[in-house]
Amino acid sequence: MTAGRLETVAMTPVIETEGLGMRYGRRVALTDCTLRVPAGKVAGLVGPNGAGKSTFLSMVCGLLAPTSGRIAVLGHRPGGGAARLAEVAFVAQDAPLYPSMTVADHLRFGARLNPRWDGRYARARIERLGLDPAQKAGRLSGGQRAQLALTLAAAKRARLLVLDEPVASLDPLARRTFLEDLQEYVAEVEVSVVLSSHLLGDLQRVCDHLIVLSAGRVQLAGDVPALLAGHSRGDGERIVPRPDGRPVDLEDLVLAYMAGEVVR
Amino acid sequence: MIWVTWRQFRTPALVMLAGCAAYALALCWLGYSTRHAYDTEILGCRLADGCRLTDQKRAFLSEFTPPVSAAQAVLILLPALIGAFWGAPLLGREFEAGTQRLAWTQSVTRRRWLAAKLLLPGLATVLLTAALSFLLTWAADRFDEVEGTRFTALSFASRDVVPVGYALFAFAAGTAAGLFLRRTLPAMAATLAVVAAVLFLWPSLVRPHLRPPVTESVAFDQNVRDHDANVSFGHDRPAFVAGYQVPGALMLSNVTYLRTSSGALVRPSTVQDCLAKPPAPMPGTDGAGTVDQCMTSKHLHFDVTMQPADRYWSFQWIELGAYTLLAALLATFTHHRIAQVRA
Repeated sequence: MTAGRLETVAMTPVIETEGLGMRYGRRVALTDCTLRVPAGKVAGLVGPNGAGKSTFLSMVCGLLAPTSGRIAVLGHRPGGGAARLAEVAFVAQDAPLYPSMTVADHLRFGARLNPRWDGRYARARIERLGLDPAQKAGRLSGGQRAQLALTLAAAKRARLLVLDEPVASLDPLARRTFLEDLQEYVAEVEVSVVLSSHLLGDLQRVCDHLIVLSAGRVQLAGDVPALLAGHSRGDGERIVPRPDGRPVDLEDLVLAYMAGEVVR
Repeated sequence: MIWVTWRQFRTPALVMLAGCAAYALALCWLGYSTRHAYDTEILGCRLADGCRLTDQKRAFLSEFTPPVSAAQAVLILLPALIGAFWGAPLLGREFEAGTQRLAWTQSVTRRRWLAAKLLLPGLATVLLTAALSFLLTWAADRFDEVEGTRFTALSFASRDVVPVGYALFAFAAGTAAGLFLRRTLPAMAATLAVVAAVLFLWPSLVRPHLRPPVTESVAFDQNVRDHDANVSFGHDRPAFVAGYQVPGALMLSNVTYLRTSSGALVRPSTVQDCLAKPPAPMPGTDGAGTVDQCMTSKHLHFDVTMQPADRYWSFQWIELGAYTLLAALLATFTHHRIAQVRA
């Protein structure tokens, strides 16, 4: 990878939104969301249930069209045409798969529908995970389903990988394995990642960029070190100080924003 | 993409084919047994002395009406089944399992994905219904010949090319229902209801008007009774003829007034003298002096409106065209909408 390539990639933000909003009839799911996720990051989208995380990620993948505002993913309107679809890989919430199709069928499905499909990687990963290619997806455990869905998304060789609550339904061990696999993948391949969770603990270890969403609004967004630095300096934004005087960590920050304790 | 649609269509296709194979065997049996009975009972009767052909025909019809009706019912049901079991789950099951979010985030646009998904089951719909419809047309041809009409609601809808149009329409309706209801069972129920309603109402509301009907004046004579007609005289109303059947035609006028040669309605007083005559001819006479002969001498007539028997094929093609067009419109609409629906 050359320095020149890195720069061009870095110049176009993976996600850029302006006043983005989504309403379902009367219910407002997301409102006035303006943010910019730089390329090459693992961005965490944190917020309580119903904060609008899934809505936001669906718009990133072109599954939902915004009812107001503007969104650009890798510099283009998401979901517009096959070339744009090939650039973004998505693992939807609960990792939907075809229950009657086998693991091998799913790999073939990925191969048939994606021009940049990396079949060797997909097969190797399935083997490493110990998944039986002849097993039907409907009979896999939650962890295995999530892993198969991640395999499909990863082998697509997209520039942006979007994961909606990938570990929500997993037990602690499967959770750790999944996130380790993800970290490994990000280290190997040049890819930007956006993943969501309602638990900061899931994301803390893997994210270097953070977006806090609550009640349909962006409460906080930025690179993790900058966020922590900014808050420890107390430049205009203050958090209720910790009673024991320990320095503010990411969790304090996020919880404070979610709870609306921050004074601007 | 074709592999993907085949992989997902495989199970419903095989289930339907298994059911249809049993039906096709039954049709073969029906075809052979009607042929055998026709050769011995009808053709044999023409050669034998003292054999009454009308009795033989009646016996033949009463023997084969139940199996032919059952076979017709299955073929009329087939489009609805295709719509419910092939059309409705096509998108309904994707939404139900959330797999549209998987399919629509691969590197294929939703419209191309849907086009590929429609292609294989659409083709199978055409081939399957065409094959079974022609098989039933073959199996029932002796029966149709003896019965003398193919224009009745049930036989017209289950012969030759129209079942293909009905099935394409039902398949497209099922797919559209899956997109809008986003659940398999409600989409199946809606498909069955819509297809049943359209196919049920069509023969009475639409088919009679597909071409301008023909009106014919029929002289009222002894032959009229051979056409299943009944004449009704009342004390205070004009006489009318009911149920007159032109052979093989689709009759649009079930009840029509009897008129004199000047066009006036016939009151009981006009034919009072005839009504007093005996209804049946005396043994050994040629029918002289009966009611019918007396009525014939009055030169009465009545008008019937109909679609004549020779329009059978034009009606088959018109309906095939109409339903194929309806299916194409529904499919185009679904194809257009799918790019805009929420995933």
